[in-house]
Amino acid sequence: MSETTALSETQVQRLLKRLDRERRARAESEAIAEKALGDLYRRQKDVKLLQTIAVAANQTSMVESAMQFAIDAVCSHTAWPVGHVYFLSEDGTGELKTGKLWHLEDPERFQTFRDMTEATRFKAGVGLPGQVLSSGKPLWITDMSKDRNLPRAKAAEDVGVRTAFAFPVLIGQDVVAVLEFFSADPSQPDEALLEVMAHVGTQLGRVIERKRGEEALLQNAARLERALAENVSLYEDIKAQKNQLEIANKHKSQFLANMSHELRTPLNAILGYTQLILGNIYGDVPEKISEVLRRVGVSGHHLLSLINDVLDLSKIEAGQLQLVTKEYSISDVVHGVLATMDPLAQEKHLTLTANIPMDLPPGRGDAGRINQVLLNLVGNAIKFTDHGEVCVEVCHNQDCFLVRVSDTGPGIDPVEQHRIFDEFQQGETFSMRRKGGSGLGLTIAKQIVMHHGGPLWVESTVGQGSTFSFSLPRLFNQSG
Amino acid sequence: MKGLIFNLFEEVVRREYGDDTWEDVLENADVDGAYSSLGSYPDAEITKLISAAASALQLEPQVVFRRLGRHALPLLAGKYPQFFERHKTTRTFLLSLNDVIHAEVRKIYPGAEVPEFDYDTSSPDVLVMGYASPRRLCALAQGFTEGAAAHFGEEVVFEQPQCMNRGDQKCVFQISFKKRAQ
Repeated sequence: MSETTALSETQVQRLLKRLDRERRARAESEAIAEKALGDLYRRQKDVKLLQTIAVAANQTSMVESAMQFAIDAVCSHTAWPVGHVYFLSEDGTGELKTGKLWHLEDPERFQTFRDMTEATRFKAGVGLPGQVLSSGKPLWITDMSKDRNLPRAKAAEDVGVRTAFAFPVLIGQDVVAVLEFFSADPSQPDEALLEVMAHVGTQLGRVIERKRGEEALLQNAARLERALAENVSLYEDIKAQKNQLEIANKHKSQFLANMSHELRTPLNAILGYTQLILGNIYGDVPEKISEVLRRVGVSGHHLLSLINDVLDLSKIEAGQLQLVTKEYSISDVVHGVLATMDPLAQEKHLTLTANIPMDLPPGRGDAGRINQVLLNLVGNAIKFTDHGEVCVEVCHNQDCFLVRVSDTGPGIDPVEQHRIFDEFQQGETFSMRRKGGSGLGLTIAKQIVMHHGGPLWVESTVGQGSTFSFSLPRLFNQSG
Repeated sequence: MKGLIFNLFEEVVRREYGDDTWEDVLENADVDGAYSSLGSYPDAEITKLISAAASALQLEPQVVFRRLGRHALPLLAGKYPQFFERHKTTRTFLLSLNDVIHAEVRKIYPGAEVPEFDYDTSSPDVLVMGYASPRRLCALAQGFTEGAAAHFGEEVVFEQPQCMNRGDQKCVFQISFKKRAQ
């Protein structure tokens, strides 16, 4: 190969040119790649800033410390010397006022700017923070000195700051705070940074939102606590009143028991002397006077029975009712009552019947008190029945006697049926009223049956009659 | 215009017409000529280059654009096989332009101004595509389509009932294919 293909001068020139173009194209590619890498790096730093602030914001519910952290972090990220926080004032003016939170690289240098800022409140649309307040978006001002509408343009110039940006702290669409930053070096808007700041604003909004949530919770808790305390004191009051009432009730029962006893003594004397006069012990009594004396006797006996009722009830209420338990025959008790009441029934032309099995076993209990219950029920039945009959039935099983007193009287309507067992509840509306009586008889009867451990109840249909029933444990056990 | 297109044009001219032709074109076009595929350059430069090439080759500029498309496509298929591998026909390839290919181009070349086509696929035989770009590069699109058909082993009939270069609102392509006889 002695000969090589010689390149012409033109060809060499073209190759050189081409080489030069290729070099420049490569240099350009490298520059583009470097710029892309730089952008990527800044982007990464931006994201890291956002992350740092987001993490800090998530860890605190202290709004001030989150804001302070954010302005410190942003200033460190941008190398800008001034950062400041405004809050929306809570006085309803809708103005921004200083949060007195600052990042100041050189506090002395920026003192006048700080004073001026803290003395100014910004309405929506006014100045840098006011414009952010009204738009809800970040704002960048490249050269403050060129915008004479800014209230602080002069103050900024005096301390040598030129460029500013601010972004809102948002809860939903509402601006609740504005963060602003200032730089001495004029610089062009950094869109990527502003975008990151918008996210920072959202993160900080969450802190305020959380804080508000916590405050609302605390207020609710305090309200609940107050309500609870009020309820507790109300409860204590009621308890104290209840205790007092119980004591008063005891005193009342004691008093009644004593008084009834004291009343009976003179009343027995009156009744006794009346009986003696009527027996002509003190000489013949003219017919006119003896008629009056008989009425005195009847009224006196009525009064005595009322006093006895009151005495019984007060004993029961005072817890002094003592059952005298011994073996008894329920059959004898019923027949005794029928014998006693038969004259009354005959007086009213009522049939008084009994339906009692022959083979009733003996019972154990207070026969005197059971007698009293039955007298009351049969007495009532006769008293309120004008036509027909009164019937006493007894049946039993292994453990209980069941006694039923039925009449063909007017019956008792359902509302009254509940009330007639209450003491003194013969009632204003109760038709029994006109029949006299203390209104205590049924109450006492029920209490006696209950003391034996059984129920007493009524079934009645108005216009058809009533049946009062009670059941007694056959063998009453004092302890049970 | 992305530097990539300039690079493709250079490569096509060098391959098809020789290195000297490209140098002539560059000199006649009076452009700098250093193009990085990552860079962006004024649209006027590609117009100047195409015009210079048209003069040199004694062709209409539209024809030069069409040839650029036809010959650049195999180069693109070699460089970006992933956009071609998933297609068996030119038709499905063309239908993926907006959503896949140009979407990816935007990722690789931020700021790339790619055209958006509209499609009428109501006919299984004729694909109707609408193109409306201020660059009016329908000839380049035709060339790319023909290059793609060659890539997929198809014959293509490319008709253009409307063209912005003829004063229409937009360009409309009616494209039909048939498998090339083996």
